[in-house]
Amino acid sequence: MSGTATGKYLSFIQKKFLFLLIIALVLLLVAGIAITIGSYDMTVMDVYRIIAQGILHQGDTTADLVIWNIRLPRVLLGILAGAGLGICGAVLQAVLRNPLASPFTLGITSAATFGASMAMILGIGISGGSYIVIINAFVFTLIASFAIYLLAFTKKFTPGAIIMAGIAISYLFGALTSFLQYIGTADAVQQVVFWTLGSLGRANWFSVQVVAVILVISLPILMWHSMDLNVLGSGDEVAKSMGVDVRRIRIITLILTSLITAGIICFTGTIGFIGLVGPHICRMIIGPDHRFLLPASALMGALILVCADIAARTLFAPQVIPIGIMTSFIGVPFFIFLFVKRRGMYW
Amino acid sequence: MVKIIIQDLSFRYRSAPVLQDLSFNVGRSKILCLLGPNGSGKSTLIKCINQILKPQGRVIMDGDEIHSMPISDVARRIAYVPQSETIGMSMTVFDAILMGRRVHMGWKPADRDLEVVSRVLENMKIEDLAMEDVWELSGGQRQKVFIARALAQEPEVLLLDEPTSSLDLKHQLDTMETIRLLVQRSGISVVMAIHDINLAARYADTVAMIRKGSIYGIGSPLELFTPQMVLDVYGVEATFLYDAAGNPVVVPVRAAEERS
Repeated sequence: MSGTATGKYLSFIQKKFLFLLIIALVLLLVAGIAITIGSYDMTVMDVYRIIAQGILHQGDTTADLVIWNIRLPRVLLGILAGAGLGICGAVLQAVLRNPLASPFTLGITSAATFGASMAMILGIGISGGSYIVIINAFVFTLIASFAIYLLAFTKKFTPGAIIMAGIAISYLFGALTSFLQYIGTADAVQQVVFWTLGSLGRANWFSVQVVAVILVISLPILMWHSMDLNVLGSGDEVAKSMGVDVRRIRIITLILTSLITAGIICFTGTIGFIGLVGPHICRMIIGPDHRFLLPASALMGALILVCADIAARTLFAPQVIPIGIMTSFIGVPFFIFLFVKRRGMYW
Repeated sequence: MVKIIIQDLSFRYRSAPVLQDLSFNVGRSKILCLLGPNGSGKSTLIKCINQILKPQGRVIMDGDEIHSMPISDVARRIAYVPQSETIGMSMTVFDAILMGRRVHMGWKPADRDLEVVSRVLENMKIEDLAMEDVWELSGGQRQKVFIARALAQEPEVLLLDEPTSSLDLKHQLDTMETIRLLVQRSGISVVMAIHDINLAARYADTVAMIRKGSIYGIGSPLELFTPQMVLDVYGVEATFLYDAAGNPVVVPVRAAEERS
């Protein structure tokens, strides 16, 4: 069979599985390295050993406490956030048939920034207490998503309508945030600016659990629709003729990507770029089949974010560079390398 | 034998009527060509048959009302190749054709899905292109891939919207021969919107002439094609020749003056 078309195709599929395996192993290694970084010295092997032992019974040594209470939640949130943003980018680029689509295209992140700004500058929140910024960012993200759905609904959920609605909402919340910054104190505005640059510094087990639950619910549904995402690339009419309920798929994917994005950025602040470029890097390597592209984008997003976090904490240590800056510094050179090296176009 | 009955079919884009009370039958294992000038409603009619658009009226296939069927059931029975298509992202020919199996398969293609794709590649004589990038194919090869993808759906009816419009003469004939062979071998029925009146005369079993959203006439090319028909529908004065097989060949002479 190896010489036949089917044989060649199956060999092509094996290469995609191999790519997923390699990137997963690299992520595992990089995550181990990321956990070693900090004032308390330890080796990568120490990290794996303590985590493996701690799954059954958590010890009470300093190394155990540092890993389980501080460093592991940070790295896990990085992995989950990168994975979520990577998948959202891949899904949105497919359903909107737009290579520039990402969770940020929908404008919902500017709503999150407004929610966070409201809490930081005015002290007004949906709820009080220490979670005021998180809950504000989450709720305003969902409000913006709902507004986009309502606007897009009037135009039958076409890709153009969704993007235009997203741009309108983005500018609205951008203007509202600017107004808050205009009237805010210098300290509060600085807090907002720092929030918009993204950080994993606020990670804890609660944030890891929330993001993990959202991903565990959403990812199987998105994966189940991966063949539909493939078909959507050929246009709505062709997709309908192949039995895809285009409108239903757009609504489902927009709700899930909004939920994932809201769940992530309310804890991390706005981390751009990963959702845009993670899927592109994977598409250039393994092609556009979403059955493989979605998990690959998740792994690539996680890898870029964890690498960016390592760089952010080590390059100018003890100063920590905001991770939103580092993701671009890490990802752009790799993206340009693949873009230039790849034969022909890919989108 | 009738495969599809179309009854009183009408369609409006917003308030403008595009198709008005169309009624005709599509024969089993036959090629029906829809002819007519630009804007006459050929493409719209094609899309009304398989629920891409929602018209008024009835489309009945082997006794089943198409417009009351779930869209996935329609896709198992009717496949569609659009007039022009840009594959959004670069992909292999095998992947593109496998998309046609979407309605039959889950997340992972079964052996049967791979077999069907392999067989379609072979039937369309594009097996050697299987791992090529669709973007890097010529127009004629790409058209074959799109038809192959539709055939991978294993449809009973194939809808083609101007399948030869962007092809050179050789590829036009090649595509039409392929379609005729498919009908003969697999017994599917074909409904095709087409601009080339002479290709229709050569390959169609039945021709439906559409003018301003209504049926001007329907029948075999030999009985339907007359100088008066060409003048009425296209506004062109024409004479007719006949090829060795007795098919009419339209020779346009001049555009007629606008009639009020």
